[in-house]
Amino acid sequence: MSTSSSKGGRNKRRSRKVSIYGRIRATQLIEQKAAIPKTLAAQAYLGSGMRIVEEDPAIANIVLQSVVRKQGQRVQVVVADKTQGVGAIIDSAGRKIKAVRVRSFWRRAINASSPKIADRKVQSLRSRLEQLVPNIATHASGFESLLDCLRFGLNAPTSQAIDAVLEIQTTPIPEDVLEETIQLLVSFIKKHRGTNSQKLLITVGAAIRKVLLNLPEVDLGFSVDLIKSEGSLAVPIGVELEVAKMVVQRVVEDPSITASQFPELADAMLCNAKLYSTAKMVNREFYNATALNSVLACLLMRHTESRSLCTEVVRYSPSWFSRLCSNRLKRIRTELIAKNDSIAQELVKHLTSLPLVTDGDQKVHGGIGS
Amino acid sequence: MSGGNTNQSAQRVSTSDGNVGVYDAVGIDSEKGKWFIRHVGMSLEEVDFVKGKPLQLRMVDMGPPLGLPESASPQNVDVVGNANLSSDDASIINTFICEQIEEYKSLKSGRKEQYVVLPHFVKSDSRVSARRYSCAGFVFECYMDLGITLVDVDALPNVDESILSIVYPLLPRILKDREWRLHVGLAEDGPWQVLLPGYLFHSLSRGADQIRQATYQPKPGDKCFPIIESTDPSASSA
Repeated sequence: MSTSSSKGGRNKRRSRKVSIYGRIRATQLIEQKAAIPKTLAAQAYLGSGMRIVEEDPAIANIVLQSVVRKQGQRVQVVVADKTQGVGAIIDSAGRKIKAVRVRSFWRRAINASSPKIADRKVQSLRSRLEQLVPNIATHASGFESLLDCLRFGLNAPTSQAIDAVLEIQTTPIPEDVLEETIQLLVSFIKKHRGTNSQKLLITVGAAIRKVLLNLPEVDLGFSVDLIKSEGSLAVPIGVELEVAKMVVQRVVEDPSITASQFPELADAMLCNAKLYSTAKMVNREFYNATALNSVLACLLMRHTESRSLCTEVVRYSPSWFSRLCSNRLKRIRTELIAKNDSIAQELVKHLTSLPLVTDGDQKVHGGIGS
Repeated sequence: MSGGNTNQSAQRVSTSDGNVGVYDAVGIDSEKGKWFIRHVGMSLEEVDFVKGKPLQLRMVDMGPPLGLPESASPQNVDVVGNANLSSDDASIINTFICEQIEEYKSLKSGRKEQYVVLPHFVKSDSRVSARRYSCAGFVFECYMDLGITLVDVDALPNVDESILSIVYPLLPRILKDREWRLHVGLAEDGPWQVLLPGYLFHSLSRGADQIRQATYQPKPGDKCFPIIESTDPSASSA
């Protein structure tokens, strides 16, 4: 009696520490696998309630795909289905041979209060999998695991998918997965940019920044797609703000980018600049910053209507806004001058000729429109 | 102190009555050095204060994490500095905050990720797609949008580990961790030219006109406000 009760107590403690989507315990899954190893996939299906696209009796098709430590506190273990294309193909020594796309997988998160406990759990899971499957191999690949989380949570974003995007924003993207990462982030943005959830919108903003700062220059025009309304979708102001900010940053970094290369993007910036810099809109939170960055984007991209936009801002926007535009433009001009290359100097010349730059001080000190 | 304005624009709460306005700079002393200012932010409230009485107010500041206006809780403040900000100035600062507040919400889980010591501000890039500031850097860059360059950041005094560890009590740990050192910009051995919070208050003590017209050149003793001559022989009066 006492033995049974003690065992039950151990299991209970274990189940509190380990969670799989908050419902299934990883250890339980492994125990099920131990009982019927040949139908591991089926057991995973039964245990997790997730759909198996193709059940494969070959246990080797299930691999412990990656182990990631997050911020020294939480360890995540990803179990992936190789039949559907796992994140990596691994050799017998556990070395990654080749990264491949994942379309279907099961993700198991082990939450542990300390790295030591997490290590023990991971080690236990790994060794049990290795016992079950002679040719199984394990490896650690942090970034791929983040991508796995993102893939899995693309349609119905899990907290792991949100965490993955937020972590990706502060992680350099490995060259070999750059294109795939951008594609995944773009899908994430497009699926969730109309959300009402503030947390999700912040994550979309992080994804926008990461995409637009890593997008090859030739593809920059694509960013206009992110702020296009489709059907009944109203693009949140936060999305427009992040896009405008990143366009400004890209042009400052690479002054060769012009409106003539990306006319649709430049026109979208002009449209937002005119719309949001009006006195009625620009005093609102987030519209103020979006107006500022849209104006800067137009002027830096040398939109053909740059001069008339400046005139409109000076005439119709509150004096503080034209002063802010003027201050920012002067700072950017200083930054460009320091670049000391001919393309940057061309942009400097353009900026210096703009009324917003030359009239800014006048207006601040009681000139036009104050 | 110099400048044409007779109003004292930076002052200690313990030594004078006064008033702090929205987005005025507010500083917090270190417990390790008299009048050594270890942290700076911007007030979110307009409050009158009485000499010697504690002043508590909400602020927007780079902790880290960035103290957000909607969730800021009152903190004890030891020194205030104002640049005679107008309502137009407040609109500009509000725009500055709106522009990046979402970036910081997205970094909330990783406090370290929001912060940099040297330089005082780092732009987002393809690796880390969010801006980073020091506490003084956040206030400094914000005032730059007003057209006010509070301090000449190209001519900052050198500070060594003993000084910097007063501002950053975790400094010994940071310096032992190569990755962390790189992240905060202290990869090279000191001394370092770090923008310290005290410098901003010396700049703000010059009077409103001068604050807007001229950039302040900080001196080694300016880490304290006001300067304590006896504790820092190299210090000279602001």
